[in-house]
Formats: sequence, C-alpha cells, structure tokens
Amino acid sequence: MDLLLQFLTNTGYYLADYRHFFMWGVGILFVYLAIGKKYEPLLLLPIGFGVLVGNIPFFKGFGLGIYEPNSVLHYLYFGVTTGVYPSIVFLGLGAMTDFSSLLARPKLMLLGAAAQMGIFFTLLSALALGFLPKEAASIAIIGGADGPTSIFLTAKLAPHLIGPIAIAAYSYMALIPIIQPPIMKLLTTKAERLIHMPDPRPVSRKELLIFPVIGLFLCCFLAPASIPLLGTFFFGNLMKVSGVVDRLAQTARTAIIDTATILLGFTVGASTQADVFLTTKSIGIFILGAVAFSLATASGILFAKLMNLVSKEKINPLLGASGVSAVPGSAREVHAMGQKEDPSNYLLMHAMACNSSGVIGSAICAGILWSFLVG
Amino acid sequence: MYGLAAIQQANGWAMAGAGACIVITGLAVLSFLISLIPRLTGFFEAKAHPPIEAPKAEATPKSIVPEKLPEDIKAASTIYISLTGDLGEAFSLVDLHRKSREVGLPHPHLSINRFRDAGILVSGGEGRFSWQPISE
Repeated sequence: MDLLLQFLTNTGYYLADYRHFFMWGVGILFVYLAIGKKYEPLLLLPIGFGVLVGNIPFFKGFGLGIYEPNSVLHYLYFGVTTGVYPSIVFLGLGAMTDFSSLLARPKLMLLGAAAQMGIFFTLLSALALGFLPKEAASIAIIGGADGPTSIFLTAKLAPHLIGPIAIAAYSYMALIPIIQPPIMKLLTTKAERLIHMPDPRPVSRKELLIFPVIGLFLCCFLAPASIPLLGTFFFGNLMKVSGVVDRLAQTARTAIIDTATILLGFTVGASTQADVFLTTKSIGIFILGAVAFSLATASGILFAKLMNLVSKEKINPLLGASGVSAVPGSAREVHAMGQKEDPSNYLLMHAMACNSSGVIGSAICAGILWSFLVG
Repeated sequence: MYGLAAIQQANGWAMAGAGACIVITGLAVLSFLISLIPRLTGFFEAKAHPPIEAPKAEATPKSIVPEKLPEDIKAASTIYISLTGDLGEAFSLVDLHRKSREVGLPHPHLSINRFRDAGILVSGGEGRFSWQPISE
C-alpha cells in the first residue's frame, strides 16, 4: 500500500498545480494557432508542444527536467544556451536568402537599419522599468523580430530569461498579421500606400558572389560579436550563389535548418517550466516585447517617409515595416497591404530586400549589445 | 532603481545612442559599397572585353511584347510561350523568368505563378517545366 501511495504521489496528476494548467493553456493556444490559424506553424508547433512537455510536473531529482543536469532535455537545451542552434539556423537562412532585390536597390538597406531603432528605444524603456542592463539588452533585441538572434543574445547575457524572451519573440513574429497592419495604416496616407516601386534591375552573378564577402568583412569587423550569426549567414549565402556546392546549399536550407528549428523550438518551449516562467519579470518582458516590435515597425515606416522628403525617387513607406527581420512574415504583410490599396502594386520583392537587410541589422545590433555588456 | 536615474546609472543613453549610430552607419556603408559593385565589375569587364557592336540586323524580341499583358490568362500565356521557343520542350523557371525580364514583360513572377496555378505551366520534375496545351 505504501508503495502504491508513493507511486501516486510521484505522478504528474498529484504534483500539478494551477501554474501548470496555465502553461498548458499557453501550449495548447500555440498549437491551435499553428494548426488552426496557420500562424507561423514551423515555429509555434514545436514551441507549443515543447511548452506542454516542459510543464508536465515531475518529482525533482529524477534527472528529467530541462534544468536538471544530465537529463536528455538538458543536453538538447545545450544548443540553445551555447548559441549553437541560432548559428545553425542562420546558416540555413543564408542558404535560402536571395539578395538580388537588395543589390538592385541598395538604399532599401537603410530601412533595415532604421527598423532596428526599436531595439534601442526598448533598451531605454527596460532600463527605466528596473531591469538590469544585461536583461534590458536581451529584452530589447525582441524589437529585431528575430527569434534566433533574441535567443542567441539572451543565452549570452541573461540565460535565466531565455524562456520568456524566446516565447515573446516568437509570439510577436507569429502575430505580425495582427500587430503590424494597424501601425502601417496609422503612419501612412493612402497616397503613400499607392506608391509603386519600379521593377528591380537584373543583378549579375558576380554581384551576388561579391556581396557575402563584402557583407562578412564589413559587418563582422564592425561588430565581431556577430560572427557566430553573420559568419554562418554569409557562408550559407555564398554556398547558394556560388552554384558549385548545390548539395551543401540544399542541405543547409532544408535538413540542417529544419533540424535546428525543431530542436530550438521544442527545447525553448520546454524551458518554460511554470516555476521558472511565471514571474512578474515575464509579464514585463511580454509588454516590453510588444513595445519593441511596434516601435521597430514604426521607426522603419517613419524613416522611409523621411527618405521620401530628401530623395527624388519616392519609395513606398510601407516597406519600412518590413525592415524588421521577421522573414518573410512582415514582407508578406507589406505586400498584402499594398495590394489591398491597389491590386496592381507588387511590393513583395522590395519588401524582401528590406527584410533581408533587417536580418543583418538585428544580428549587428546583437553583436553591438553583446560587446557593450560583456564581462 | 527606476526611471531616468536607472538609465543614467546603466549608461543607457550612451549605449542606445552609440548602438543606433553604429548600426545605421554600418548598414549605410554596406549599402554604399554594394551600390559600387556593378560599377566595379562593369569597369573590369569592360577592360577585359572591349565592347563589340551588336549586329543591327538582329531583331530584338521586344517588338513582340505588348506594353501591358492581356487580362485573359490564355492570351497572356501565348506571349510567354513565344519566349520559350528556343529553350526546348522543357525549361527551367529561371530561364523563363530571365527571358521575360529581357523583353521587359511586367511582373513576370506573378504571371508565371498564375500560369502554374491555372495548370498552363506544369512541372515535369527535376526543376523542368513545360507548357500544357490550352483547351478551348
């Protein structure tokens, strides 16, 4: 009888409390959004199920939990805490990214830079709310709208916040169709939304080959801390455009990035154990994350409007919203809004140019913040 | 500590100001450098291969292309089909896209997608595509 009682007190049914129920609700919501609403399913499904797995109550000391040394989940989580998975994801991203529209119109790169201003505004806001500098920097990077970059920087500066920051970053990436359109509409006039962008010029293979090399040297010399992200990113891109290692490029943009995404999403989800995740800090992180994302969108749009004031060639200010690095979600939203106003307005390729420059911009920002706060 | 005092204490103003300036400057320089790439490659190519005047007799395919594509998808597809004559029965979408850009067709990505959705342009596997006969 004692043995049976002991067994029963060790089951999840006995150990569960209201916090676990809350986290299951979050996990099920993510799974629903992924399957039912098709919001970023590649991210939300692994994270959502990871949340469910990570919040099954267990008897501490069994070596089961993600935070318990030598547990299987702990080993899988190693790729997150060391920044290995984000680096691998960037390799695959590089092998997927087509920079031709950015090379055809280099000034769109400025919109990718402008959208990073949300990061620095949020850094100030987080400091003002009492977060420590390293925590504030990790929260601020959510404004870059780049999950792997957020996880990478947080793993380096504030590893105890990886769970809430990763969940906030990926949630806001998934909620782009809800967050960005009202800001885009609020900050632009109908006439601005109707601006057509001319078709980009054809880009030669030589330009495509030179770009990753120049990009690597310039960005990584400027912010060496971004090497783990941008080094693999530009390498992946060079494999793609070189045309001589198609097998490797194909593997990088399919099997490798998929494996990293699965492990990254699942373990980040599992890291949201109720006792670690449900804190007042997490609430602050979610609020600041929303502020960061909205400010990033707004600063991109406002900068595009500013460029129109000083430049002869007008650009559609909606493109500024795709300066965040949520690829391709924000580019899709910009295109959709342009099409809503005028079905013959095709902004997708131009928005992808801003998007890809946003990826570079947010990785540089992560490198800069890491260098400022390391030690 | 909270508010402006916390920002001051953590050297927040300097971090935010310097960070913003560095990222803007970095990407502006990168943007400037990539705008120079075509000029540089053009300069070296011009040195290596002096320009040869193209024979005038060769007609440019632009003449067969209207400024605006017809709304009717079948009519639009005939223009695209005429472009692939020298590409053979099966061709890659990259080649089709390149050809359509060469003759200045508007929004080739969108048109090619429409042909694929309508089943006019079908995949033959291994990245090759061919036209399906249009049924009346």
